[in-house]
Amino acid sequence: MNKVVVFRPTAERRHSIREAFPRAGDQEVAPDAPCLGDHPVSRVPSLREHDRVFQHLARLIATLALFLIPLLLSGCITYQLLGGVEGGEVSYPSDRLVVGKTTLGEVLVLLGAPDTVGRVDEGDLLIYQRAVLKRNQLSLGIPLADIWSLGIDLSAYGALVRYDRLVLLFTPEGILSGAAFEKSSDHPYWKAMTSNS
Amino acid sequence: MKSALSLGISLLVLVLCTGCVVLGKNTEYQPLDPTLLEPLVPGQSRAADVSKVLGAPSQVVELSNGNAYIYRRSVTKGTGVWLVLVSFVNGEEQHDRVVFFFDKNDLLTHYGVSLNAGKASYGFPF
Repeated sequence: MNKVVVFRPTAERRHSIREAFPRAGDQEVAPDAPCLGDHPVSRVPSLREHDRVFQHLARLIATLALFLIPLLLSGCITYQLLGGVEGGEVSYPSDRLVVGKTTLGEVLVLLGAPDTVGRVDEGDLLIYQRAVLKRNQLSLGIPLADIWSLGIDLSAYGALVRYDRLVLLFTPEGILSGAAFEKSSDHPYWKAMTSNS
Repeated sequence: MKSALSLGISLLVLVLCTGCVVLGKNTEYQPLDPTLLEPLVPGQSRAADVSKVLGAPSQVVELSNGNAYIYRRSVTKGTGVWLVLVSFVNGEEQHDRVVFFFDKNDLLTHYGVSLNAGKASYGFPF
């Protein structure tokens, strides 16, 4: 047999609530009038209590949604940020590298071992290089590939590799004959990605 | 009310932080020991001396007035964090390099050293 829980506010309490939250159609109730809870009958919830229950239910649903939506969307919406660096810092000490004067030995002492050594028509070249990779990817899709070959999949990504590069040319006698330096890692990622050039 | 909100936020954080973390390291050959370079003197040592101390070079390049031997070692460290909706992956590769320059008689003229492999580190891509 179900137990009926009866809400039993006192008459004074009920009166103070009515005063605090008057509603249209409320009638003046005498303080000594018997309240509903004074009778051993099951109480019919008022409209306000219905609202309260509904609000609790809505909060519960919202909490569950916050909990479940990320789980349901995992695999469908993913954002990946990928970064990579290869090589050490590359600098160009222009005040210490003088074309026609600085020797190969001085450059090796100053900058260390180059990444690449090569031969060109006019002599030899050394290349110091650092690569910086950044990649953003946003994927929207429903992974149905195992079930249905026409699974929906939308993705967008942008990858950008920026190089810091110093190229030094030497005569066959080992004298610096030319230098070129590019530092593209300072360029902003989004500006580079949105540029048409 | 507050406790329900706190519980909801805690659950949300818990769900969003569910995932895994991967740390990886890849080493290509053993690091170069700088003390091995001490007996190699420009103007005295020859290509054979260098090969005897350091072994076979990673690359040999013909230059206008001789050759260059390149010794290269690398260390790569990768970090990956996979959360429910977001993932971050980062990799860093650094090198130890020594480049020896020889004249046409295989006599060592210069060499340059860059020891950066130990600087490779774990981290995030931002």
